[in-house]
Amino acid sequence: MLNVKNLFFKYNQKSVLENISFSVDRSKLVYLIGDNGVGKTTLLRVLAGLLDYDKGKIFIDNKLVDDFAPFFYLGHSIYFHSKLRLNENIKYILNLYGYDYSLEHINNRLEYFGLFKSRNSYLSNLSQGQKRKSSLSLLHYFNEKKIWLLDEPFINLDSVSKENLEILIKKFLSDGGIVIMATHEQFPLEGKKIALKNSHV
Amino acid sequence: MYKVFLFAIKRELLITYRSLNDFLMPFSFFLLLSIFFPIIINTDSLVLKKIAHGILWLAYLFSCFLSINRLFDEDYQSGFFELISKSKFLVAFVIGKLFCGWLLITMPIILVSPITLYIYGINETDIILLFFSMLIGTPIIFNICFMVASLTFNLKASAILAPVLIFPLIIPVLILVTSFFGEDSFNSMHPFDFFKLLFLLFIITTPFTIFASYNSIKNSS
Repeated sequence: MLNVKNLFFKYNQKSVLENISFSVDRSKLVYLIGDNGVGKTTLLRVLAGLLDYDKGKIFIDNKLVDDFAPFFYLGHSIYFHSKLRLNENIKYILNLYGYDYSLEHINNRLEYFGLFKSRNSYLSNLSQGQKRKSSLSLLHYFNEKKIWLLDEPFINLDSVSKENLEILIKKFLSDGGIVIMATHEQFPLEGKKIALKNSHV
Repeated sequence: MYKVFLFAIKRELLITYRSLNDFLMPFSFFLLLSIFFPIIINTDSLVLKKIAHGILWLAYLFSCFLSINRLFDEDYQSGFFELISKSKFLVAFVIGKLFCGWLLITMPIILVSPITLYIYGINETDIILLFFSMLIGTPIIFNICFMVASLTFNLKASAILAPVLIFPLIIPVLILVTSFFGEDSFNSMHPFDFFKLLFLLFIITTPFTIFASYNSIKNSS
């Protein structure tokens, strides 16, 4: 269970998150909703440990979070190097996390999002949708994490890929994971909605 | 940990192999500067012999300085640093990047430096000394450049800040390495003692470099 208590975050002396509190049970999905610039991405990045919050506490299973290792954040970035092929990019990211998968294994996983044919492509040869699917492919390898933090994951995806992502998220939830997803209008799966407005929940 | 270090090296080697222009830029800059200098200065050979070591070290510093940002820019802008910032093996990645960066930017320069010294009419003993002093001394300069580049890659004013930060740190090192070949007290120092001194400086600067780069990548978002 994730428990966020009285979280405050300021950026350049401007309050972005004020007294944010919510809790999410295991196997549950939460949608973060709200207008542009309301702080959805900031909240995800704070939860991922990418931004230092000013006040508040985050608990997982009643234990205070100190190293953010249970979280996996996937934002809008592409994460890949332009001089490496798609499968090489994924391989080296996984290598740096201590996983040693073969290129063949990675190629097979790429097929889940229909990227097998693009496995040897460089970033410049991929469309926006393919780039998005490529970074989403990383989710396959981080399912031992307790919480996925996804920032508008359905953007730029075709309908088949959206369905495949839904299946991937459902599988993660059924294994006891928690998913917190920032989104504007797409709610393909059943989940609690948390609305952010004027820096508050 | 050791495996991640090797993976980081393999990744950097592959990226460099596929961007040969970037790889050759510091090398060709060093070569052009050190070859053109005696032609343009047009002075007598005695003066050239005296300043040759200084020119080579300065040419190395500028080559290093010009190319080192390449090691950070794309990985930062693509979000790669953000993605790996929570890896428990981040320090191995930083060490791999540091080692590989030195190897790719510096090694070709060290290998070509004895040839360029012939143009200046330097004797063979001094060429051998310079070769070994570069082998041990360039990691100190590279460490300082790498550290500053890692501290500034996410700043808008990095182009101004980096030189301001680098020069106070680098000047004492440059004075040390060039003095050995000059006509002052260092000249009487035994080469082995000089190499030991350089190695000691390398040992001192390396942990600072690794720590600064590790922290910078970890907090790069």
